[in-house]
Amino acid sequence: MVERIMKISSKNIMFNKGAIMQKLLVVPALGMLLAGCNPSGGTSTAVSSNEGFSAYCPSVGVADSQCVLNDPENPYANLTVDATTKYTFANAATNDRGAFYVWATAQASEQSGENQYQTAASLHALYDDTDNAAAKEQAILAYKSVLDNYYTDATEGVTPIAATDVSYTLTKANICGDAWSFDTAYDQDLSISNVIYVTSNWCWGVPYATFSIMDIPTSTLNNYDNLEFKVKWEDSTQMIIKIPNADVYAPIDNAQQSELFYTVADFPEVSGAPGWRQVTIPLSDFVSASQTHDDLAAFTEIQINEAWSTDRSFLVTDIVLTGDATGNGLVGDTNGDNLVTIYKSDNVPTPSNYRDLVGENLVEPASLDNLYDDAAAATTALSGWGFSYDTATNSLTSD
Amino acid sequence: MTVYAKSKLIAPLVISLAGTALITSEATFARGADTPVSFEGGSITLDVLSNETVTSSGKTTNNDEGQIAFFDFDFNMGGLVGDFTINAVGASSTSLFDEEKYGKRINSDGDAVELYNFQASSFGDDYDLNLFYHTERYHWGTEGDFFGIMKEGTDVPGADLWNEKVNQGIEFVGKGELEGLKVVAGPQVYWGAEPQTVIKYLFGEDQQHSFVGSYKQAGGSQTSLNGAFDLSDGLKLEVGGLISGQDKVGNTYDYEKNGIIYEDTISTADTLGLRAKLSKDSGGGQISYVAFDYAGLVADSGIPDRWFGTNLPFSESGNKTVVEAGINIPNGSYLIIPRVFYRENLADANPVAFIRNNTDAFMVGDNRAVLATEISLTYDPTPATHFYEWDNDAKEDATLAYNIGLVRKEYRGATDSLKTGDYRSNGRAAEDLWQLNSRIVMNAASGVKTVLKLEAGLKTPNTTAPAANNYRTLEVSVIPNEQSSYKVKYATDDFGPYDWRQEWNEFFPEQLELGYERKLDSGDFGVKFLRRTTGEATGDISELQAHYTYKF
Repeated sequence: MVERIMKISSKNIMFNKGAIMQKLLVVPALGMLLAGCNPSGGTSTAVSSNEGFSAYCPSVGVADSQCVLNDPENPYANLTVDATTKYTFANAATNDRGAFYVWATAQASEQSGENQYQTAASLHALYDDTDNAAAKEQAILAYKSVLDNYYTDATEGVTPIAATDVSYTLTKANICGDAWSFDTAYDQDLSISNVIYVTSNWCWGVPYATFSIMDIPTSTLNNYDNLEFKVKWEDSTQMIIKIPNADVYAPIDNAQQSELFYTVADFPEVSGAPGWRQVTIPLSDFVSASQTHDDLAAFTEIQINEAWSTDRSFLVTDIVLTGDATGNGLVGDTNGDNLVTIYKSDNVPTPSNYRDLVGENLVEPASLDNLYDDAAAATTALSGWGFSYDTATNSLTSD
Repeated sequence: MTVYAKSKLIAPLVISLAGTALITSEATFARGADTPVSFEGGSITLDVLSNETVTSSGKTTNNDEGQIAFFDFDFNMGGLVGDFTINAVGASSTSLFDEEKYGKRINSDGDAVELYNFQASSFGDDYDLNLFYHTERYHWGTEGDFFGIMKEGTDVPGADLWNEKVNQGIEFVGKGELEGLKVVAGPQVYWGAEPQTVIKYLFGEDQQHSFVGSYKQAGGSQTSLNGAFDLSDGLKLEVGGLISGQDKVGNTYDYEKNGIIYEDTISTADTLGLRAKLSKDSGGGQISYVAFDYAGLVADSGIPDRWFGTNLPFSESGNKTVVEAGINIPNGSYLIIPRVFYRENLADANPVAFIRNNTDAFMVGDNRAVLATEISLTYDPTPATHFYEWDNDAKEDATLAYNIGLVRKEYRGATDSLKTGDYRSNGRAAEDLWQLNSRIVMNAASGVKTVLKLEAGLKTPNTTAPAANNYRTLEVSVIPNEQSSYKVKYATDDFGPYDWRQEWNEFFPEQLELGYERKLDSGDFGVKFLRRTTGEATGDISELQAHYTYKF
């Protein structure tokens, strides 16, 4: 073969074209092909789907196993998941698989009945959603660990509102996308039952969670100083409180508007109710400089909304009006407890032992698939572990 | 209600400019060595329109008119020879159909007179210099630019609609010992380009190898090295390597794998690209090829030339591995071309809850995973007038020539959900799309030329989620002689004009256009009727347009 020589510049630099081109093009090309170059080795930051779960080690999420901290799929492995932060992470998790990583990481850091039970329950929910065999197997191991290691641990609870005076009954509310109706029967929260579940729906062209308390009689809001409620939000840093038609002076852009932003984390946590915040909104926030508190009398609606279109559903309950703005005693407070209730949860769970919850979840799970073939098979399995569950009293005992 | 938007018919400015040019063109600007600037001619166009909007609440009509003029000059001074055109606008009619049009600037306090275009050249022994401002520019796809780094800049009329003065820059063309070297630099060397310098150097015995690179003023570059090798017996290998998007090295990005979102960092490896094409010329017009294209996550480049009217789903974006193959099968006056195109992404679209922003290092959009198959049939008994040349409508001289193309695009991947500020849009899911297109050219013995263009298929926005439109278009042009032409265009469920309508999924149940053009000794005259039904409360609209252009 004749070797071709070419000239590339006025400086008479000569080189072997074939050899140079071969090195310049073919060698890097082979390198790229060999490299593959699909993304890999990144740091896990979130769980996007329940699908794809596998147990990183046989004991992952069980007792004092630490292997979840080395699982490259665990977004929380290098974060501080402790008694303070675990609720925030768990609330922010958008699926059961993500919740499992939160609670399993918490369990690896600090072993407790709560962490172990929540690990098991999230695996159970994951199995319910995906029929994943690994999730099923680990859920059973985690439930058994609750009984073996944290037999006496109990849930916390919330003191219910005792008020019986309801001067304004929540008769008309609107959850966007759920036209003119609302569901107050949500009872899946372990701490407070029968709360209002405000789901994110397609509103105004974006996914948005918004709740409106409507048809409040005129000359009502001006009687009170504060709006108070409990709220539990999925990963929300800010919320919007809106009183339509109110004339709020907004110092940022001098615009007059009827809604204000509040940072959820600025409000105190509710003791015994993980993830819940006790919110107090001064109604004076909605009175502009040119108005008086009495101008609130004209307004008939209050909205609790997520900030922007963050697509985050939330729970809300115990909505009350407080503070005597009239100076003549709290209007509508017939029993003298200083609360006028718009909506309150009437079924607050009493503290219970995690072992009883394990028994219920194994033998007669309310809304999840049974991990065993049926209740009898679950009862047999419990018996094999040395425990019995009484479905009449919802209690689990050691044999 | 009838509204006359403007009382003036012809702006005094237009008349005075045109008159001055006409009177002085021979006396003052006569072309010659001592008169470096010469007036070459120009045109004045007067247009009128009348439109009507019918909604459930009633009917609204509007009449309007416009005047626009162009004055063409040549010049030869200071070692530069070239030409330029001055534009003057008296008024711009407000159309319901041509919402964007050249000259519209006058309606928003723009200049009545502006430099429309300009080009000048200096010819030397060692190099030529070409200055260009709003003139057509061509890609370098046939000049060794294997990655399409220098993009096509021939859509000047399209840019005119938005009063975009593209393309702008200066070109250096080497000669003699610098033969093969071209450098183009400017604020916008093609439509949409950032200020940059583009360099091309061809080398090799037949200048079959090339170096092509673009270097942006604000950072970011594309550098390619390409080679073409004749292996044997018509077998040819073209191969190129690319480094693109190095300004994004160090940026973080998210990707999903097995239901987990990971964060990683763009590295140099993600800026690399490779293209290779092996083709075999078996003689008699039978050419087969197989091509491979790898592009790292941020290794954006250009698209291959669309030879033989292909509608394969090429993309300029990186983040892909592509395999493509096809063969030209000639049989007499027929040409059959089957093609197959398969693309996978290196990183898939992120799920809805983990959106990418439009400022991210990369996104999955028109480069999403796809398996496309295409077959086209071309009948052209007069190959001297190549059926796929851009001006074949006018040049085709066969009694009958036609093509039929069918492409099926099985998109196997989704596009990213996007977030721009607070606005979020879901991406497109995996889907199957198809498109049928045909062009038929007929030349009757009487001299009447007829051109039919048909299109049907499923058309979608590129990145947002609405369902695909099942659209149809038919366009018929009848040219009975050199002086006259008739045109009918009818479309159902097609997007309206301008790219944004497709992106926002704004389509219309029916669109109709009837047109007649007549060439005159002094210029031309045309009349057009347009109608569009919306099927919504915004109403149905129709418009009658007429224009007369006087050329001098």
